[in-house]
Amino acid sequence: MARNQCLSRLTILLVVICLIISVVGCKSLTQKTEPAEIVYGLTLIPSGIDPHIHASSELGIPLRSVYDTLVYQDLETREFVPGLAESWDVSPDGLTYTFKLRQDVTFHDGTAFNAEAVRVNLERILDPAANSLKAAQLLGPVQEVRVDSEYSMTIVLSKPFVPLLDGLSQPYIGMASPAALSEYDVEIYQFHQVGTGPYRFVEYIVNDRLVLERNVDYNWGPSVVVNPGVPKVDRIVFRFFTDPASRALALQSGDAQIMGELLPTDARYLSDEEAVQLVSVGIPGQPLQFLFNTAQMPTSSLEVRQALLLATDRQAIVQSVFQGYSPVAYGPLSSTTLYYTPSVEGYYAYNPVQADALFNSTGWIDSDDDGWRDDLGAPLEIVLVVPPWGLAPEVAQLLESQWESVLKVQVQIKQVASFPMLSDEANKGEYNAISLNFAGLDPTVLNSFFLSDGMRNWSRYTDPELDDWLLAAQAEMDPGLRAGLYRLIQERIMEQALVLPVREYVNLNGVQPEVHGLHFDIQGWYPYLVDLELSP
Amino acid sequence: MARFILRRLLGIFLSIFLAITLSFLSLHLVQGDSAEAALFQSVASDDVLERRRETLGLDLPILIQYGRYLHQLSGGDLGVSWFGGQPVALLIGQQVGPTLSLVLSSMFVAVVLGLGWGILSATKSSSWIGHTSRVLIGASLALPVIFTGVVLVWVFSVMLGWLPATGQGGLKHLVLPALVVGLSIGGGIARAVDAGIREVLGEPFMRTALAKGLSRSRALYRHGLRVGLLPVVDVIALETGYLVGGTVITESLFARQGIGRVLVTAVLNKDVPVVLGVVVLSVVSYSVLNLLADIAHTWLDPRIHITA
Repeated sequence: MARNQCLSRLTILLVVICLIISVVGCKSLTQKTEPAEIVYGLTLIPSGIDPHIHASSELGIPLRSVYDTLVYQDLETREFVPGLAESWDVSPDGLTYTFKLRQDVTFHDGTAFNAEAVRVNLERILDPAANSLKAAQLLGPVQEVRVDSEYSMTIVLSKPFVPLLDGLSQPYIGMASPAALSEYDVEIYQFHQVGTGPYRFVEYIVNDRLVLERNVDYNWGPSVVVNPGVPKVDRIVFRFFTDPASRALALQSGDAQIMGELLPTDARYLSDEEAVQLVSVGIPGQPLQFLFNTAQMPTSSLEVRQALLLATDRQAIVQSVFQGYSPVAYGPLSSTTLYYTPSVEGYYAYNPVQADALFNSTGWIDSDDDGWRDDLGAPLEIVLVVPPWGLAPEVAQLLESQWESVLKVQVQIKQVASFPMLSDEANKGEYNAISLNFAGLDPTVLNSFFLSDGMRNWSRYTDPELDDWLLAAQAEMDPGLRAGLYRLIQERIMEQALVLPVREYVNLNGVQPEVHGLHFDIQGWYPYLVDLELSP
Repeated sequence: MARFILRRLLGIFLSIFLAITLSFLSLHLVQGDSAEAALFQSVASDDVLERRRETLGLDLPILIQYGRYLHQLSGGDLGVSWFGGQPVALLIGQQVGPTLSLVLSSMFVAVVLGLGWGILSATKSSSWIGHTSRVLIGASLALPVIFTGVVLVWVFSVMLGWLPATGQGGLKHLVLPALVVGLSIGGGIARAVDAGIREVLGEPFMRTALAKGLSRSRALYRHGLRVGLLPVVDVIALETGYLVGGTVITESLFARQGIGRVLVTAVLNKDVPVVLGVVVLSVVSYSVLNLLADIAHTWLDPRIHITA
């Protein structure tokens, strides 16, 4: 071998590696930011983002603006207003919904929107093989989807299902291009989504970014938005900030212009700085709550559940963990949800003395004077199963200290790392309380939690009367009667102390001062991106 | 040579098979039901869950699931993510570029740093420079990436504002993560270089070289390095292979996309096809790099002959 050949070969290797790095690096350098671009921070990695199939709330944040829906719901009046459907009729028996569609709408791929397109979309959702995790449930008991003419169609239900219009107004039932649906297999359609909305779907890199560009042909926006035409902002790039602590940092450094779900402590600090606007949005549906297990000792006792509620200083939790940004929750529904009943606010105001007395009445007392209530000689224990999101762990710690000091029960916190682990714990049933809450404007969000055979009946509570009310309320056409049923339902849930409501869910969005017009639809999570503007 | 490569390729297949088998079995010990993972925020009912289990094949005995996976893989199909419904090949393919750029730039930093540092401490072995430098090598090996990462971010992003702390989008986003990983691996390389050279310095052929009148540094560069650096090639190959799936902490710290983060999401959600896909990729790159290292040995040192 020639002199120093070994070294010179190593040098060649290094040079080659250098070249590769610079090529890879330059490729990303060419993606220069354009003037009218907004980076919008999302918070969790959604499972999949096919709205017809997947269930993540996060997917609707970008996709609300990729798809139009047949109807929209006005935030102020709570009335349904025309979207892709110009008008509709509901038969008196609540079984037949007839829609007249707009005739001037085209998909991003240039194909025309018509009644056949609606049929293709709804049948795609309802196909059992598609295993739709949310959209199919929002549609309810659909029996038939009928095309009546080029621009009119009918949905026939097998039994009345009042939340149908609510479902049709959600991004999960956005209208996709039938041409695109047949061009792409179901596994890859989520990377090539085609709708009629104000923004076109450009690119989705899992775990990294989702890119939208404005639809320059758009002029059919609904009355719920300010700008029914072409969006002002050219391009919106969604990025994922799964670590809550990184969100405020990204906003401050200008890495993002809009950021969802700021930590309340960061929101407090940023709003004091006045460099960032705070847009806080109440999310209708269930509050942050703990479901008491009625099949597990000692929460199988009504008095124990009530004592735990009375011993919880929710105001203190909201002040310290949520910095006062969230209203205290009193019932199984947030006050922004349809048919919320304020009567629940009278239940279980913080009362340590009453809580202690109530617990004493159950016979679990501190018999050996060790400072803890006893059960068969051992300290009585309350097991809390806690997911990692929504500041539930912080809340659980405060519950632990409040319950231990007021009620003298030991609290064991079992924190899990993911949803499969949470539902696994739920299936095992060895807990006294577990935290889970779903969002949704229509109170049917209660069904899977409080029907005896509901999939999320993690309270393990069976009550035929409550079942009847829940099913009747879902089919009741008369709003007054429906409100009455939901009042009974919410009061029963609280009388039975099935849940510990903690705080109403509030999405704290941070927005850079140059961004204007951020507002959300009535479901709370989904922004109308078409109204965003950037000041120069 | 051809027979050698063939044998090694067989070895690679065996490693892939073993790695898949182990991962497949151990994934079943992770808590939770794979079919439930995508049901967060879903209002579906039990029959949807049942149908999902059937579609994913989760209702079958584990050995049959395993056999079906092997069969599918033998056709070159990595399957579809259970969590997100995306094809695994596409999901991983999207991450290869960013991961590769982090791995290569880190290894560049590590090799440059490790060679310089190692040669310095070996040649100044008995002076205070050598001692200090060996202490620093020990420190770089002992300090976790998360610590050096936070310190570097604090200095260069927060205090000085020279470099972005998070995200990707060009060379300047790559500097800090590459430095953090490079520093940690560079320590390992430096230690190998230091040890290799110090061993070589005592060899008879070096004494001969010095006796011929060559200066110490000349003898080292002409004769010593070639032999002393052989173990370093292995260290580089092993570390690079490890990095393909092992940059997860760095990716999280700097909010970079990459294979490591995909792996973590997949494990948490018990997304078996994605985890296995990453395992296949890691084993293949690890084995191929090892093979390349062996071939490089013969190239760097003609005394080594490969025999089948």
